[in-house]
Amino acid sequence: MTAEEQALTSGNTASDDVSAAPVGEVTAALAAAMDHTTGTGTPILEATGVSMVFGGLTALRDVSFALHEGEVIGLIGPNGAGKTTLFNCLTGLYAPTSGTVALRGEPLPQDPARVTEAGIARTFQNIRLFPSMTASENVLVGRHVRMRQGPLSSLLHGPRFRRSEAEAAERTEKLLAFVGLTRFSDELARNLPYGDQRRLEIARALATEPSVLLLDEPTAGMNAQETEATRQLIFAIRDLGVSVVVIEHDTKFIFTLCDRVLVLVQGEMLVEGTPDEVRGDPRVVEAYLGAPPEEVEAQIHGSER
Amino acid sequence: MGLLESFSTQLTQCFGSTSPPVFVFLQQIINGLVLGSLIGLIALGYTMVYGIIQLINFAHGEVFMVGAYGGLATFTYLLPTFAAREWYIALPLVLLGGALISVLVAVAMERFAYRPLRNAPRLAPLITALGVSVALQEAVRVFYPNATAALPFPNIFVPGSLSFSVGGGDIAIKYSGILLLVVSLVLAIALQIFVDGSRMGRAMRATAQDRDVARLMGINPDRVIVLTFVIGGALAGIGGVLYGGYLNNINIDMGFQTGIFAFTAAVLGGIGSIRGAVIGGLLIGLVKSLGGQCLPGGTAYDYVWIFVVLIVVLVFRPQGFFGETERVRA
Repeated sequence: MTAEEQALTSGNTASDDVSAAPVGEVTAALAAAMDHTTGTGTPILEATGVSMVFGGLTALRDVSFALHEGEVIGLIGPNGAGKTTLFNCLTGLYAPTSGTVALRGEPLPQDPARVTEAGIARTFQNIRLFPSMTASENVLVGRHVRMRQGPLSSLLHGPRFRRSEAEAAERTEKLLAFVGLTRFSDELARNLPYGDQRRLEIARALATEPSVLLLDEPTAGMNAQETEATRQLIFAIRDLGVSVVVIEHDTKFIFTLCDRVLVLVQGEMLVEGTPDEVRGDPRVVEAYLGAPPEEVEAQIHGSER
Repeated sequence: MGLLESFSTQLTQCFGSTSPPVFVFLQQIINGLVLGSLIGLIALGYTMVYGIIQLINFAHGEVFMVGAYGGLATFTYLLPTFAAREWYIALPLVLLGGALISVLVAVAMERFAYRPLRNAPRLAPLITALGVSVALQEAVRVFYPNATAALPFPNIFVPGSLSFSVGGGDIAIKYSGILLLVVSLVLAIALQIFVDGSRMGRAMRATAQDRDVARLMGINPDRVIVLTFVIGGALAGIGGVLYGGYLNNINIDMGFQTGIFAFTAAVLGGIGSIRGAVIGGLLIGLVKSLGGQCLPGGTAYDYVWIFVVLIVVLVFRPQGFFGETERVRA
C-alpha cells in the first residue's frame, strides 16, 4: 500500500455512520486484493439478460455478466456497441427494457440517486464535472449521499453540522491527495488540465464510497504517461476493495489492466474471458476491429492507437 | 460632503433646475438603500429559481405580496391584543405568519404549476408563471375585496425614526427602515454562507450546473428545487411584512412593481449570483430614489432610469456584474 492509501484508510475510521463503505476498510481491501485474481465468490454486481430498446433500435440484446468483489473488468467494443448504454442501465439512468441488474443480490433501484446510495459510482465519457465549482467542492458534492445535516443545524452551524463538514473536508482532502490533485483543490474544475479533470471525476465518484466504480473511457485523450498513471490509479482503487468496470478503446490498456474482458458488439456480448482468451479469439479480432487478422494482431500488440 | 455638493452643483448646471440641498441627497440615498435592500431580498428568489430550473418565475413578486397580506392577517386575526402591543412579541409572530404563507404559496406553485411542465418547452412555464401571478392576485382579493386600494399596515416595529441634521437640514430614517435594511442584508449573507458551505447548498449549485450528474451523485433534484422555492418564498414573505411595516400600507399591485424591479436587479447582478442580486437591488433602489429626486421628470420616470441602467450594464457586461459567462473549456 502506498502512503496515500494508508492516509485514506486511516481517515475512514472516524467516518460516517452509513454502511456500504468499503473504500478504505483495511481488512476488506486486503481480502479483496488477494481474492481478485480468482474472480470467484459472490458477484457484487450482476446483470442478467439485459436488453435495451430505443424505438426500433436495439442498443443492448440479452447482455449478462457478473462482477466479483475486487475485480477489474474491461468492457470493449466498437463505437455504438452499447457500452455506455450498459453503464446507463447499471446506474439507473435507463430502466432496461427487459432483464435485471442486481447489486449484492438486491435489484437495482430505478433512481440514479438511490443507485449511488446503494454503492455504484461512475465517470463519464465526456467529462461532466461541475465546472463552476472548485475541485474540492466537486468531491464534496460526491459526499452528499454520505452526509447528514439537519436543516436547523445547517442554518445555525450547530456542532453536528460542523462535525459533518469537517469530516467531509478531511475525506475530500485525502481523496484529492489519492488522485494527486491536492495542488488544484481550490481551482475551478473547468480550469484544470484535461487529464486532471478525468482524475477529479474519479475522486468525485470515490467520494460516494462506492463498492462498484464504472469508468467510461478514463484514458481518452491522454498521453502514454497519463495513461500509465491512470492504470496505477485503477490498481490502487481496486486495492481499496472497490470493484471496477472500465470502458476503453485502448485495447492494450484494457488487456494489461483487467482480470476479465467483455466484448460487446452491436449490443450483444460476443466474448467474455481473460485478456489472453479475448486477445486470441478470432471473433473478437474480426468483429471488433473488422480487419484482416495480421493487421489486427499488429494493432493489438502494437502501441499506436 | 464636498463631493456631494459639487455633484449636486453639476446636476444643477446640467439640468438647470434648482439644486437640491445635500441633505436631500443623503435622504434619498438612505431611502434608496432601504428600498434597494428589499428589492435585493426579492431578487434572491428570482435568481435562485432561475439558476436551478431556468425559469423566470414572474409570480415571485406575488409571493412577496401574499407574504405582506399574510402578515397583516396574522396581525389582525391571530395575535392576541397583549401580543400586538409589544413589538418583540408581535414582530417575530407576524414575520413567521407572512413567511409561512409565502412558503406555502411558493411550494404549491412549484408542485402544481411548474413541476408538471419541467420538461416542457421554456415558454410554457413562463406563461404559466404569468397565470399564477394573476391567480394569486385574485386569490388575495377573495379575502380582501378592496385590495386594489391601499390597505393600512400596522407598524409592528418601534415607531418613529432616527433623525440627525446634516448639510443644512434634517434627514430621517424610520426604525422600520433600518430593520428592513439590516434584516435583508443579514438574510442575504446567511444565504450565501448556506449555499457556499453546506450539504444542501452544494447540492443546489450542483443541480444548477448539471442536473443529471447531480442525480448520479445521490442528489434528489426535486428536493433541491422545492428547497429553492422554500427559501425564496421565506425571504419574499419576510420582505413583504417588513416592507408593509415600513410603508404602513400595502396593496395588491405591490408584488408586480417590486417584482419587476427585483427581476431587473437579478439580471443586473448576474442571474444565479446571490451577491449580484443584493448589489443589483441596492443599485436599483438608489437609481429609483435619486433619479426620482434629481433627474428631470422626477418619479414619473422611475422605470426609465432603471431600465436605462439595465441596458447600459448589459451592453458592456451581458452576464451582469457577477454572472458567469458560458465559457468553452480549454
